[in-house]
Amino acid sequence: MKGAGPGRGVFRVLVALAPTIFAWPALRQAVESRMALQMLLQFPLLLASGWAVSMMLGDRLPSPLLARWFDRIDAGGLLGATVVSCVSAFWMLPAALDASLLSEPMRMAKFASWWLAGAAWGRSAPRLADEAAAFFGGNLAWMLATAGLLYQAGESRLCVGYLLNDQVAAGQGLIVAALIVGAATVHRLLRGAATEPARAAAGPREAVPP
Amino acid sequence: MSRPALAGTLVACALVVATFAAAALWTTRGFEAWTYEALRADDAHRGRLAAPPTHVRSATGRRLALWTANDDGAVYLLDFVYTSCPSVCQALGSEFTRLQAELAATRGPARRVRLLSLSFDVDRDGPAELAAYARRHQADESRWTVAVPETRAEAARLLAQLGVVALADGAGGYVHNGDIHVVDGRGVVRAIYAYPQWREALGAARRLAGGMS
Repeated sequence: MKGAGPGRGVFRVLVALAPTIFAWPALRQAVESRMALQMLLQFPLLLASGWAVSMMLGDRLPSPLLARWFDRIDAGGLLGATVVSCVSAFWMLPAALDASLLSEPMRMAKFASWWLAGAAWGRSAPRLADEAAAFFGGNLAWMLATAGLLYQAGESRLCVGYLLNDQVAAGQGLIVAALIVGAATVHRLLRGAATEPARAAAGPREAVPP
Repeated sequence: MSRPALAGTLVACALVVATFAAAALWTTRGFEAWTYEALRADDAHRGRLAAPPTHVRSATGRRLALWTANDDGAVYLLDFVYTSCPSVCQALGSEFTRLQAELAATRGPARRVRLLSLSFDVDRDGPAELAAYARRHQADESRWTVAVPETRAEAARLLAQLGVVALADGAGGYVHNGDIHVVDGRGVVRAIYAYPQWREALGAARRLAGGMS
């Protein structure tokens, strides 16, 4: 991995520390009391924090044993992408969202799973091939859009912890998130396709004379 | 990508998918209950939901101890309300008025079925507010008790143990569960029905009372 400039380093530290705001009970409660804020602010923040810590470990510190072990079973970045997909799918379940509000172990599981998914993603993303990124990104966008439509279409509350208008707002936010993930996936595919001819022209690395 | 690395990766991915599938299976009870309310209904069906002994004050000012050892013979049709509620509680009140009329014509062991409307708004619902709610829905004290837990702590414990969530709606009221609970004298919830299914709730309560004779 490339070394990080001071600006990028500060950004990563800030992102890594961002979830500490949830240690303040009033703020955590305020965020978790709104479905849209929990799903579209807290989840991404936890994911980003794990990602930032993973990037910092990779850049500045000797990789811990766990990370090296993870690298050995993450061919092509598939494991990290699978973890992110599974964590995202699980926390779309209305029963899981309510459980995270009503049960402390489930709340801890939510924090841990999103953070670890981010950490896994940080190590896996650079290894992920364009085709695999398109598969996982497309699936994630589709899942977010489906959940978003379901949350908006429901005539009754799916979660006892949230009001109906909040559920609709969360649904709309998930549609926007789906569009962003979809656009990023298409962008990556197009960028890959544009650089492919140049890579092909350069030929395999081994064929280049010293 | 070397073959051993790919094989190990695929095994790891399969384990991750299996772990999350198991978690989802556990959370939704075998992909049968996707929402908290569905899980609660399933809990009631399995007899896992029970109200703790609770002291309440009725609309007439009487102090009652519910779900104590002395309360074994009763069967309750229980709903949760707050008297200033403009919507679901009034609909529940109307259904309870109908239930009361049905119960008045009941003979035999099914006469043990009682109606119980409990307010969770401990701060605002005193005897006067409860009495006004009871009058509005023609509640007959001999069959229908309108009451409020004596303390906030008792109300909170009761709601928590029955999994009833009352959510502030931002306009001074609450969004809350509008179900009818069939509860035996020991406090065990035997079934939960949405309020339009009041006839089914009454049938279940009558069967329960009949089975106890």
